[in-house]
Amino acid sequence: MTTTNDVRPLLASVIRPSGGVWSRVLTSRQAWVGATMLLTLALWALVGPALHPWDATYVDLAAFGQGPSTRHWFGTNDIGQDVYAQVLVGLRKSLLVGLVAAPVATGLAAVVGAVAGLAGGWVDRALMAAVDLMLVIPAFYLLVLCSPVLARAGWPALALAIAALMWMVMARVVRGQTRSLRERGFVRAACFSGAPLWWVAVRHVWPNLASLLVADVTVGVGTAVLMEATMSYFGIGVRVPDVSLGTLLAAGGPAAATRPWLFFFPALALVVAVCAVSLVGDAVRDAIDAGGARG
Amino acid sequence: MLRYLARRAANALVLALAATCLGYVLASVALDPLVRFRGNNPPVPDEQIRHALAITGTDPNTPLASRLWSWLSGLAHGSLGTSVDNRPVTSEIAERAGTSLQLLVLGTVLGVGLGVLVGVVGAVRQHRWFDRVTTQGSFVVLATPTFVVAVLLMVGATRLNEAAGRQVIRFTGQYTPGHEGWAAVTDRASHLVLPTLALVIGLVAAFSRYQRAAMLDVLGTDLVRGARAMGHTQRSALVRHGVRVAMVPMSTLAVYTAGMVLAGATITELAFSWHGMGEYLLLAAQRGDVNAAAGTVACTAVLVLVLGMVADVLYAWLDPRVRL
Amino acid sequence: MGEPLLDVTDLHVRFGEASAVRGVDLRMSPGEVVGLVGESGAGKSAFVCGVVGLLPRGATMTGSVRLDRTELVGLDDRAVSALRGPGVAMVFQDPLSVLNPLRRVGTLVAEPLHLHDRSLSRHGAATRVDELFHLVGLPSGAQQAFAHELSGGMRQRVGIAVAMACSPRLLVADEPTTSLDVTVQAQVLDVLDTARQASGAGLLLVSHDLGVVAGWADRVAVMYGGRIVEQAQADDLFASPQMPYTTGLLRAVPDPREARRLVPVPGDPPVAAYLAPGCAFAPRCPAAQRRCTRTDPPLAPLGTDDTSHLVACWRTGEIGDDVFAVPPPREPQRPAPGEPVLEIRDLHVTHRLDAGVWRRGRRGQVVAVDDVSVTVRRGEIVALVGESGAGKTSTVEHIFDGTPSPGTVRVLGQDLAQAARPERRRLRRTVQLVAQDATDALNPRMTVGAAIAEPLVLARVPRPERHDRVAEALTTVGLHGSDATAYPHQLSGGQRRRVTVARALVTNPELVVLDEPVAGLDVSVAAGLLELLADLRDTRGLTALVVTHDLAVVRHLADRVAVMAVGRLVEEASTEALFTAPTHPYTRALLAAVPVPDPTAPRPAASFAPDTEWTTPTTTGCRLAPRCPLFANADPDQQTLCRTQPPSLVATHDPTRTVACHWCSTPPDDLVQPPQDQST
Repeated sequence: MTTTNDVRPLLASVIRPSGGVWSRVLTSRQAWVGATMLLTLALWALVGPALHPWDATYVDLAAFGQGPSTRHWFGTNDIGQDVYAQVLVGLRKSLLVGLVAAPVATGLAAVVGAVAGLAGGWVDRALMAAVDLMLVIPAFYLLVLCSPVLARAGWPALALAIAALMWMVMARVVRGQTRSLRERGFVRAACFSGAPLWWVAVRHVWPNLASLLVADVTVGVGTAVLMEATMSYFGIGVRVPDVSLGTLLAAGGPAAATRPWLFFFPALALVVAVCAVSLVGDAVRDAIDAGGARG
Repeated sequence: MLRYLARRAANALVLALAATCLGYVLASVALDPLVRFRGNNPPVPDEQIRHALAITGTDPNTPLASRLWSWLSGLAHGSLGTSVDNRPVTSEIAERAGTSLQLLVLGTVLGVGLGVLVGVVGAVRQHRWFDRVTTQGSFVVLATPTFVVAVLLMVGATRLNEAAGRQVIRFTGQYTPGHEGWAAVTDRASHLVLPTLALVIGLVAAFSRYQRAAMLDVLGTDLVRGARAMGHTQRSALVRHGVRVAMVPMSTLAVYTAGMVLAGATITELAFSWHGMGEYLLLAAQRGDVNAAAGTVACTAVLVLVLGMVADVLYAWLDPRVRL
Repeated sequence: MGEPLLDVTDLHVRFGEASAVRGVDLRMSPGEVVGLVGESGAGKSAFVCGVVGLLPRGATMTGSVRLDRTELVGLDDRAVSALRGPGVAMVFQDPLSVLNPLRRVGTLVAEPLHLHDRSLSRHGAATRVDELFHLVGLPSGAQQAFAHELSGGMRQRVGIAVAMACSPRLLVADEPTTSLDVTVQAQVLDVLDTARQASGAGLLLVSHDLGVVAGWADRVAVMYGGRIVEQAQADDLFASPQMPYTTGLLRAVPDPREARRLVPVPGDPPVAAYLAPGCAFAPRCPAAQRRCTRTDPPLAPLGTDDTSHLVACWRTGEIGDDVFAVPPPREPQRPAPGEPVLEIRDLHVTHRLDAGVWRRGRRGQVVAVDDVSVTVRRGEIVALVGESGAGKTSTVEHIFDGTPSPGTVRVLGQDLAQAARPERRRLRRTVQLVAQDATDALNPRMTVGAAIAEPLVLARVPRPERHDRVAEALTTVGLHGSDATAYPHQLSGGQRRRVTVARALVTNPELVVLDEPVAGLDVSVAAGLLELLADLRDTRGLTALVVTHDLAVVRHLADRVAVMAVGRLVEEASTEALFTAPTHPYTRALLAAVPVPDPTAPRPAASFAPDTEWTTPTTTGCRLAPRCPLFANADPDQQTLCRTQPPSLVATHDPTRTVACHWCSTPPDDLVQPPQDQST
């Protein structure tokens, strides 16, 4: 940690963008720990297969349901597949779902929130009514409801469905921020000069909410990964032939007491991944809050 | 204050109705009522299929609007229609709702209460060991899906039972058949321990973080300075003035939080294979049971809104500024 | 000076690397009122927080603070807390953020009583709370209110009651009236003074406002860059300032009594984190020499026989009156005002009273602007003056957002409501607004150049021309072309304000609306901006509508003044006429309440009744009647007229003046005289 300790203030002083949020992020130990964890994990998901000879689908007839060993680092499942290889494949898929879902959700939130906040009137009321409506039914219930359709469409559809259920709270936040920005002098000045809605959104609203949106994307990746895992665990998320951490956990769950490696290794990968992402997201959010408090 | 609550209630009623319609439409679009007739050998006669569809009112040839209308008129008479196994959805849900509510109410009260307490203590003793442990612990818990917590608890309980040589904690299902009287009560309580714990752990993690953050926000404001200027010490200023003020912004997230809590309860219940609302919805989705699914969603929406209302009452009680 | 009440020696306060307070010595006798003045960043707040032990975490304090011989530095939280209340109490700038919004103010006032006397009975506390409410002039019914239900002045009275609860020996007031209107300010300061006298407490009055300090303090200390640079009896300090900074400050502050030229102090107040060695003022001081930039001068007595006047300057006695010399008065050759650029006729604006964040729909309406007419002619500067709630902001907003309201707004003779859409847009562009808060008016993510160019982009001005005009606008307001690439946070407050002026001027508007042009700026910086605007007026024939609560600004800039109160115009006259002979009782009250930076002048007086009785404005009759001294002393017949008939603006014997009052043509003069001078 000593090297990063030396580097952080230096980086912050070099990059130092307007606003100061990013310099606070860069000086936050939490952000660095999270980022390091995340990078390590991503690197592992990419080069990990090269370190270990087994393929995720290969069936080792000499090892059915064996515990961790030098031959199979994370052990094998009941039909002799290597758990290490499967965890890597699952991790990649899970992160992919998160990385697709979170930006889509945040983008949707940014657009809906900005339009509602700037347009006001009935547009605002209609959009916020839609948000309220979607908040009333828990996301998990909607996903279960839509699961037969999603089953046919594959994991990208699942990612989008998760995104479609994650944007509401952020849309409200963006709307609130937009409404207070609309009262700010520079937005009013632009409006007096005849700026159209898109101009105000692109030039004034989004740049000022950039750090908030980034924080939301980061936190959203974690949320989406958790949602995916939960869906898959109950058999309505990612399906064969796709493998995700959720499907692995579903397969390993019943055997958790007898053959713990089937459950614990994917669970560990999941928790570490989500922890890493939320550490970063949280650090960004803290930096924003600190800026808000200091004015 | 009454006017405020009345307005909130009216708002909730409209939302409940809209959510109900949305649930029915989604269920009709997403679920295939023919799914259970397919792949049968010999094929089910058309006549029988049509008859079954007529009973549930889910014939795809009828326009969706009129299906929705007839379902809603049924709802007006207190009926949620018939499920695919020919049972009234209303009574099925009524049975299962009891199961779900038991866990939900217990878990929410414990989870929110403990969470707020942990958050307060953490904020007052910021950077001390208690704060560090709970902050980092809540981080890990929030990164762990509820079902993983459930599985871990079950594994732990199994080990405990093995070590004790008898069933100290029971966790499969809601009760062991065959108990009577007092034994049945303790048996049920024993079955409640793990699911409640699984739900409470997550809620404590979430709410302690909210409360702690809100308290620390208050810490930086003039409110605490003002209290200290009166002669409060830092700690007593925070406890006497900070706690209640910090709870105000939290209660504004009511509906969102209610949805989150309900989803958590559902997942917990599923993980412990309870026969609750979550299982009913899951089954309905698998069997293409439109009425059961729509009924579940409608009840959930009402439940979320009721929870939201409870939070609203709390909010109005906390903050005189809304009592206009 | 006997045993001091407060004895601060060599106090230092640090926030990490930054030194906010750098060696302050200050003594106060029991019952004395000491004024502490200084601009932003002078370290006033850090000093005060240090004295009462309310520094935020992360701040370190060294030196000595003795309150009645008890050393406060190094005392633990519990022991200092026991002293806060009976020993030292504080009145904050913003009572709304200090008073717990969830408790009734009566319980808040009782809280310190119970805290410091566990044995106090409920009845005993209630009696004392009644007493305190009486002391600060609040009806005892107000005890049941929550802070948000009270007006600003009432809230601050509650704040004073909380502070006085345990009869402290020392009262510290940190900018106690900065967020209040002038007429309320005078009342609250009087309440503070009365309360102090009742318990014989010493008062440390911290303010950026030289007028407030001049009016209420016995002795004045001037802070700059974390140190006290000059300290003397109030009369002495204002009459013969020694430290160049004090001189500069006094010459920079506009005086509502006369329209002399202002002398801006060049540069900006220092930032605690970037202090160079030597005198903190040296970089801005016209008399600075080499030694000034090397070592900090000590705070030393002015003469051997005069130990009450302390100055921290190497060149005391060497420099004369010519530092920050006042330039000769302007003698502009200004043409007579031309045709009307902006005409507002019979404007009515009503605001919906939204019931709150949670409820949509309306609970009622508030008439913000009632029958207001204002005309601005080419080449003249008209000021719209009023306190908060007067409706001046609503009037201005109406020009720009133009929601349909009864009344007409004409720009260059054309009715905005009648004009076709493109024409209306073109007309709107000829009126530019300089918003009140420059930090707020500039997008933090946009460079200064982009911000100034924005109206040109939206008006489809081609890029090369845009560039030239941005550079030209920057030079006009005294900035460099190179500043175009800076972000707002890289500029000082004064520079940011200039950028907003540049953005307004870049489109060559017919009329500029200046909303509180110097609000929130430090005195020395505000002077520069006011001089810039006066220059623009004299050299470029600036046409402007200045909206402000600050009468000194009006005196300095405006040709004509329209005074607004509770949504209506009460008096309109040429600046000279209005200031020399105010006619309407409200105008008189307003002028009488303005603090003047001169301790020998009569203390600002609150001749309007306190706003504690302020009820919902009556819709019939004169809305000022409930607070009006004329009304209070009038006979019943006259009162009936005031209550039933709203007075309209009528001409007076002075052709430039119109007044809206039933009785101003024959005002019983003795009723509106300011009360006797209490400062002696």
